[in-house]
Amino acid sequence: MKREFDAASEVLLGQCSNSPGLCAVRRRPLLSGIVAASLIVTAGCTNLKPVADFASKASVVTSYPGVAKDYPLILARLKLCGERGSAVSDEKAAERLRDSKRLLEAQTVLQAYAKALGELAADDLPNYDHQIDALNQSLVDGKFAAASDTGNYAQAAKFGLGIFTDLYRRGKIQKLITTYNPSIQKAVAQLLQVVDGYLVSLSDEQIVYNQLVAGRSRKAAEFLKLEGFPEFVSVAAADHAQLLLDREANARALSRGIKAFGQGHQELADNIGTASFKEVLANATKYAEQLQTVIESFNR
Amino acid sequence: MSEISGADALDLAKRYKQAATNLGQYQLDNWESLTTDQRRLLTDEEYTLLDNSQNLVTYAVGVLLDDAQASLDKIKQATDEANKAIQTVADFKKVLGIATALVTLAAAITAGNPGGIASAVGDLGDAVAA
Repeated sequence: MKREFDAASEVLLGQCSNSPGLCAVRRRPLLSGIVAASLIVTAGCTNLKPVADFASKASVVTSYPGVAKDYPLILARLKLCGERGSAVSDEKAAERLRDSKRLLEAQTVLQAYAKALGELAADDLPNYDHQIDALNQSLVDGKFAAASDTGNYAQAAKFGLGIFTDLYRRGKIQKLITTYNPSIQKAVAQLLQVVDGYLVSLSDEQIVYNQLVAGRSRKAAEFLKLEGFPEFVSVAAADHAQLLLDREANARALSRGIKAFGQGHQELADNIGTASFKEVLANATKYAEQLQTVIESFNR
Repeated sequence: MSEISGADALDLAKRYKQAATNLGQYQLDNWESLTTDQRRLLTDEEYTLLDNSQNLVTYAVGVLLDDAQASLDKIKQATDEANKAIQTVADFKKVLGIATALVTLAAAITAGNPGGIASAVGDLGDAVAA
């Protein structure tokens, strides 16, 4: 508990260099408790809003289900197009399911984490400790951390029976961000890599469709000389291409959002113990805005 | 001289997406030995390759190639070898060098510069052989 309080104090004292008012409070210890408490009570909750926004927008981005759902289905569509052989083998199907599972594991971790960070920053604490348990379980399930490690993580991050002041909460946010950052970064890298693989698969699908479906149909249309058939083939091919482009745009949006989350989180972890809290919050706002742009770019 | 068709551009784009995937896999495979800055560099390069794949589909169609210097087959062969190397090489600097050479090649293709393409294909080969 003392360690956590010290961490929280460091966060507040970090502001002293930029805040003559708070430095004056430091010189008069007796008065300092009352004044600092007043400052925290009146300004604390509002000040953490950028972190809460960052987390809630990250939660929206990481919950996008389209890629994980569609990834295994591409092989079935390739078969429908007439693709045979190793590209659609049982081995390939098993590999695709594994990748889809890896994607879901990474998404689950990032979602659980974003939820915990959001609850802590928004002062929505009733479920916070349970959320940490869920997060730790997802880290173990996805092999991002060993069970022996997550015990220590929980000790650092959980609220327990602490004094529910804003100062204490800031200290907890610092602990949460720095403790979990390595696992978050690995989950981000894994997610990005699987989404890259999905994008390759969409290219495969487009190439196979062009060759085996649209290409053959065009040849048949020329041969049969049926009125309207070439146009029908062109429209169907254009629709299919657009469908794949939309899926690709969504996957790229997910990827961009996760990258922004990872980068923003890394910067928070790098700066939260050293920069002023004001700068940390400004950073959180910057990345929250980037995430909002990503959310708006998803095709609904 | 030959011209890059829509199908060729799609095929090249797929190779660039594959390169991004391989770079991501390299990062995961070597996670513990990479520094935070090295990971960041790899992620940025992974992203640039993905952007390149999109640019190739958009801008490469219709680009003229000097077949004597760098035909489409030579470009495909060079990108395939680069992809294989990223999957097998352990050295961070070499992997990053290959990725950078791939990025330069994509830029030359989308700029429609036959001389630049030939030079970039050569540089990519050098990066793989280094």
